[in-house]
Amino acid sequence: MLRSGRVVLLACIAGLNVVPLLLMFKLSFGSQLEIISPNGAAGWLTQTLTAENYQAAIARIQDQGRLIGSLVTPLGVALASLSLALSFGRHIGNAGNRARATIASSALLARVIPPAAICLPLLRLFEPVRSLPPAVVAGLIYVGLLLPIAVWLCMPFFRLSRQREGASLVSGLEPERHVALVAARDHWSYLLGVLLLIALMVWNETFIASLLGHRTIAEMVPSLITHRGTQWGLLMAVASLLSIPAVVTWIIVTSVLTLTLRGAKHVA
Amino acid sequence: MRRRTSAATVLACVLMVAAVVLPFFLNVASSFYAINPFEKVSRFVGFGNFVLLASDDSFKLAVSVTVRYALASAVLCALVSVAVAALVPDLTTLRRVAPVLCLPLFLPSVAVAAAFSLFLDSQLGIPAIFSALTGETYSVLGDPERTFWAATLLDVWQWAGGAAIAVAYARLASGQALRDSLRVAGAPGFVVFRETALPSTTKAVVAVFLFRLVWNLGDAERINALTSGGGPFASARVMGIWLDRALFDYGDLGYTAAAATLFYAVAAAASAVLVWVATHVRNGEDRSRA
Repeated sequence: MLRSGRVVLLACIAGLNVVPLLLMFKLSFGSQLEIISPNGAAGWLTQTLTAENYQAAIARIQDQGRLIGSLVTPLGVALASLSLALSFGRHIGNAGNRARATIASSALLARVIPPAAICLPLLRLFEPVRSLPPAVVAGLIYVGLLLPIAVWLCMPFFRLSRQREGASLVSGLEPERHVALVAARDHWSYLLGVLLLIALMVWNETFIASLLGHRTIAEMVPSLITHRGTQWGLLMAVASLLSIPAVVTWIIVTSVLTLTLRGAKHVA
Repeated sequence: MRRRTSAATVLACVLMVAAVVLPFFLNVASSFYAINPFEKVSRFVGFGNFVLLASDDSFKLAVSVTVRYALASAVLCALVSVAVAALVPDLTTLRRVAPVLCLPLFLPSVAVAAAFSLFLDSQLGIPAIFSALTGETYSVLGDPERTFWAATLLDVWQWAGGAAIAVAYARLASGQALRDSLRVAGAPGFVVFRETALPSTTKAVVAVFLFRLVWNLGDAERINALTSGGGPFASARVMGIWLDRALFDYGDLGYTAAAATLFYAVAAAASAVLVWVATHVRNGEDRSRA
C-alpha cells in the first residue's frame, strides 16, 4: 500500500513536469481572442484549434532570416566542438587529476560567467572581430565556451576508449586512429548524445546571440513579451517550435543513456 | 596524422583561452578606464570604477538578488530532490521515471519562461482563477517579492527532477552488498539506512546544493524572459541581466568591465572551489576503497 502510494505520488510529480509543456503546445493552437477572453485560464482547454499562430511564427522567422542561423550554427558548433574535444581530450584523458579538475572547473566557469562579460570587451577591443559576420563570431565564441564542456562530457568515452587501447596498440593502430576508428565506432551512440546536447545548448542560447546581433529563434522569444501587449498565441507557437528539437534530443539522449547504463551494468 | 592532431589540439587551446580566459584580462584592463564605446573616447580613472561600484545601489541590489536567488534556489532544489528521491522505491522504477523527471532540463529556458509568463499572468493565467474564486486580485509577476519567488521556483521546477535522479541513484545503487548482508543479519531498517544509503545520499545532496549554488550565479536567460528584464523594482534583476543592460544604462564600458571583473573573479573562485571539493571527496573515496 505504502509502495503503491509512493509510486502514485511519483507519477503525479512526473505529470507536473509534462503538463506545462503540453499546455504550451495546446495554447500554441489557440487564437489570441480566446486566450485573452474573460474566462482566462479556465477556457484554455476548450478553445478551438487554429494553425494561424504557426503560420505567423514561420513567416516572421523566415522574414527575419532566423531559420538558417538557428539551424546551421548549433550543428556547426557541435561538430567543431566534438571533433576538437576528441583530439584535445585524449591528452586530458591520459593526464592526471589536476588536468581533469581544470577542465571541469573551466566547463563550469564557461556556464557561469555572464555573456556580457565575454562579448563586450571582445567586440570593443578587437576591430577585426566586429567586421566578421555575427554568425561566425557567435560560432567561435560558442566553440570556445562549449569546448571544456564537450571535453568533460567525453570523459566517460575516453575511459571506455582507453580500456580497448591496449588491444589496438598491439594490432599496430596508432592512438589517434584508435580514437577515430575503433572507439568512435563502438561508442557512436554516446558521442551522438554529446553532439546533440552541445547543439541543444547553442540552440537554446539567447544572450550571446542578442549581444552579437546573431538572429536566432531563441533570441526572438524575449522580444515578443512586451508591456504594450503580447501576442500570446504567436509566443506559444514560437516557444513550441523552439521546444521541438529539445524534445527530440531528450528522446534520443534518454534512450542512449538507458542503453549506456544497461551496457555499463552488463560490463560490471 | 600526428601533426594534424597537434594542430587541432593547439586550436582547441586557443579557442578555449580566447573565450574563457582572455575576456577576464580584457575586463581587468578596461576596468581602469572610463570608456564611451559609442564615441570611442577613453580616460584613465584608476580604481575609480570600483569605488563607484561600491556606492552604486543598483549594483548592490543585483549582487544581493543574485546571492539570494542562488541560495534559495540551491536549498529548494536540494530539498525537493531529496523528497522526490525518497519516493523512488527501487532502481527499476527509477529507470522508468528518470526520462520524465529530466525532461524540463532539456527544454529551452526562454520557451519555459515564455509559457510561465502566460500561466502566471494576473488577468489571463492561473492567478485569475484564484481571483475569481476569492474575489481578491492575485498578481504574481506584478509583485516584487512574488516575482523573485516565481523565478526561483521556475528554476527549481527545471532542475529538481534531474537532481532527484542523482540523489535517488546514490541512495539505491550504493552499498547493495552491504545492505543485503545487513538485512540477512536481521539489522533494523534505520541501521541499514544509516550504514548504506545515508553516506552516499548525503554526498549527493551536498553535490546538488553546491552545483546549483555555483551554476545559479550565472543564471539570467530564464529570469530575463520571465520577468521582462528583472521584474518590478528590479526585484529579480540578477547580475547576468544587470551586466547585459549596464552598458546601455551607464554608457561606460569601463564601469561595466569593473563589475564584470568582480563577478568573473567570484565565479572562477566558486567553480574552482566546487571542483576542488569534488576531487577531494573522490580521492578520499578512492583511498578508503584501496
